[in-house]
Amino acid sequence: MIDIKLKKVGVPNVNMLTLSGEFDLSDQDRAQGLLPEILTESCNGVIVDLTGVTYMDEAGIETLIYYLQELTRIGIYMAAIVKPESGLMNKLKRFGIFDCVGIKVFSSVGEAEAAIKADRCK
Amino acid sequence: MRIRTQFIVAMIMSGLVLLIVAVSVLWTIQQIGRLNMQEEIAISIERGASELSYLSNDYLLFREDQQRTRWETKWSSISRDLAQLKPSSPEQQIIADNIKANHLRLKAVFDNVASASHDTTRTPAAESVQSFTQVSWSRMAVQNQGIAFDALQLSQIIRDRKDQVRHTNNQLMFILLGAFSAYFITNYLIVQRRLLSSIADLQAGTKVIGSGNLDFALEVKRDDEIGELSHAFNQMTADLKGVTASKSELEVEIAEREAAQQALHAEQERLSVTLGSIGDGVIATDVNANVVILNGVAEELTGWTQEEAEGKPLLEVFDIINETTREPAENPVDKALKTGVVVGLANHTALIAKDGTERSIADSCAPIRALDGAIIGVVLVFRDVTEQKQLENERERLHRQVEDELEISNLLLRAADTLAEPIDLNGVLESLADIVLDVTGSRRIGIYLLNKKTYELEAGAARGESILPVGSKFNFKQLAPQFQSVVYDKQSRVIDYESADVAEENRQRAESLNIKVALSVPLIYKGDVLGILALDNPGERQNVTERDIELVEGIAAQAAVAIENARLYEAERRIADTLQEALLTVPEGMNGLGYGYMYRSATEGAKVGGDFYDLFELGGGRVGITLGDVSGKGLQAATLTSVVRSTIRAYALDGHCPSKIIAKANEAVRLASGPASFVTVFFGLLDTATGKLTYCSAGHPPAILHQAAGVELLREHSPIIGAFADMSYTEEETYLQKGDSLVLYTDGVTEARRDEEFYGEERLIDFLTQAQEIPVKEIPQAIYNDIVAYSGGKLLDDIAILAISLAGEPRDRY
Repeated sequence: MIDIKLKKVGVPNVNMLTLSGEFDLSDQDRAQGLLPEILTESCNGVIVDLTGVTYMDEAGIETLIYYLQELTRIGIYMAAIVKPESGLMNKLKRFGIFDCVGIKVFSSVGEAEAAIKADRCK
Repeated sequence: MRIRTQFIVAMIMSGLVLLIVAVSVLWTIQQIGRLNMQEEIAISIERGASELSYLSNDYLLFREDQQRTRWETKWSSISRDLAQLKPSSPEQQIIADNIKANHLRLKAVFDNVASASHDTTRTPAAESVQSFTQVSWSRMAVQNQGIAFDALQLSQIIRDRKDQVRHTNNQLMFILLGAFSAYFITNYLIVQRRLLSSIADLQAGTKVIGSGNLDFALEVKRDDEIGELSHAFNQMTADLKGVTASKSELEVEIAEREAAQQALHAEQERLSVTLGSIGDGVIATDVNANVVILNGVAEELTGWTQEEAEGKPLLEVFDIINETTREPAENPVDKALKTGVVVGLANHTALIAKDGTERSIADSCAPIRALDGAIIGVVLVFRDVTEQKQLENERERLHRQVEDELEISNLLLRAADTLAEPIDLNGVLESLADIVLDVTGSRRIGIYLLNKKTYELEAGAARGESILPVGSKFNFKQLAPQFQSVVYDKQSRVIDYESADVAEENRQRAESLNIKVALSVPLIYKGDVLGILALDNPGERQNVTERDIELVEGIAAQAAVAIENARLYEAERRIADTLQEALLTVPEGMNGLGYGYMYRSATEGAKVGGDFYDLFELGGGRVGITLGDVSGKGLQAATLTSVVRSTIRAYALDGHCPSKIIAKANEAVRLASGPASFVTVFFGLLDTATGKLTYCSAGHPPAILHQAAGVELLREHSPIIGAFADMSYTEEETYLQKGDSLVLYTDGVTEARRDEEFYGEERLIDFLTQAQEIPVKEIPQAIYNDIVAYSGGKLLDDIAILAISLAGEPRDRY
């Protein structure tokens, strides 16, 4: 079962969703049901921290895609933090989500925060 | 220094001074006497010298023997005086020596004169005689005058010496007396001062103590008799204080005793009033457990009056029994007397009053001790708790009821969780049987599903001895009417098969199955009875409680929902299975191509998965090869599989290249699927004549081209399909030689697990490297077997594998 925590980060109006453990079909409804909670009124950016995820099946990928579809639809920036060279990173690369679908991927929270700040300065 | 010592020292000093004075006086007297005698001798010598001068003249004049004798006598007298003369100083000695010398010269002159007078031969003329006489007189006169002068001088010196001795003695006397006087006066003054000062302190201390301050103490500054006196004074003060304190304590004690007597009297009054007004019954006994006193409440509760009860054995007055056993209760008084500790009454104790009234009582019995600790009786305090007990019983009943309900709720929640786990009908029924036996403690259960068309009951799950096996069917209408009423009335029923209400035939059938009392509960879903759940204890008349019925009904309600869901799921699965079976159909054989394939659904979570494969001929020796994985499960996944498969087939037949075909499939799936659904798929066009393989791998695990030279992973980085619109896809190409095998698989292969470890891509490559001799047709099964061996048969995802090889040697590709 995946452990899901929602918290604030160092960038204003950005929420971070931290997932850890194994993500499978039984977690999908719970994780997707969190989206309204993530999208607080002032939220304009979401970071999904996947560094603690040890396994993610297609239900987890579906959830990520669901987040991205919904956030994109309402114009909210989304970034993911994935452990480099991990099985999950390889899987996400193979799925082409990074290059083609639009989720920006970083290896640490700091990197993600810096990227969001830079993006806002543009 | 101690005063006594000081006095002794003073006395010794005084004695010494007096002794010195006495010795000095005596010595002075002696010295003066001796000097007087010496002076008289000197005077005597001086006078003798004068007489000798006269006698010398006389002799010279007369020259007779008489004068001579007188002269010599006198001279001898002077000689004696000279012998007694003791000069005491050198000066005296010189004078004495001069006198002696002159004395001897005088004798010599005289003897010369005398001899000359007696010598006739030498008788001188008259003139010569006169001259001789004159000369002799002169010589003797000189000696006599010298002796007289010296004697006179000596007497004078002795007189002076005598005066000096007297003077010295007087001076010594004065000095000694003065020194002694000074010492005495000083000593006197010091002693007097110390004594007076100490006496003054004592006097002042006496006044302070006399004023009542017994804490006063003199400061002891000295180590003498005064110090001892101060110590004694302080000791006297302390003793006096002790005596005074004892007296005060005695007075206080007397006052306290008087107060205690008054308090005791008041306490007796209060005790009397208290005992009379206390809400509890109180009975006091003596050491023999005979009643001494009992208060009004005790009189009321026991039915005995003070006069009747006094002196009676307690157990006669205080008759108690155990409410439950009705046996006499343990006597708390004996126990308290024996053990000396407070003894509580046992629970469920009832007091039987004199008139037979029974009351529940509670409380305790405590020993009464004398001041020396000896037990002199007991006091028994008790109260009527009949009403309280009734309330407690009611409270306990409610508490048990709440606990039962809570337990039932927990059991139902647990049952709900358990029943939610299996998704197939058999799983639900098996779980239901286990749960019901667990929570009721019954040893036998049968769960029967009702076919309303045939009125047959089919055993879906069974536990316990002599139970109809799963799958056995029987006609519902042939069962006991009591059992049938469970379905018709849709109500649970406890059926006593030994009662007269049960028909003989049904009783015999029950007897053959060793059924005596059974609980039958309907499985109802939305008003329809799906079946019956029957439980009992074989050979026993099971005591079925309301709680058991309530609990089993709750579980049955949940089970009915789960049964219905399982039935629906099975229906869906049958459709999906059918659809997938149709989709997974591949031709038995294709020209120029050897291949093997297999599909296995996951063993965990028995939903139909979304893995699929397809092989189809396009004409001209070309073959379309598809293997994919649709996200999601069940009918929806099967539907998407159909969309992908048919789209790829259609565009492939239309002659499009793989990347274009996949792009079309992306649009088709995106339109057909729900949000976030996606598909990973490998699609390749293989020219069996040349061995050329053009392929697009959209988010799919890389295909493995197994060649004699080694293994090549066909990585092609196109994204998944179905999730986003307008994605671009690419394609790659490679060539197969005869003997090469192309292996396609879904991620159920590489993500098969043993604990936390995945089977993985490398293990798959290793396996293929070592399995070169395996015919291509058997490769999928071989891989699957290896995965099953690795994972212990526990597959979390579906698995699809497709292996392809060229049947013949390809012609030159150019």
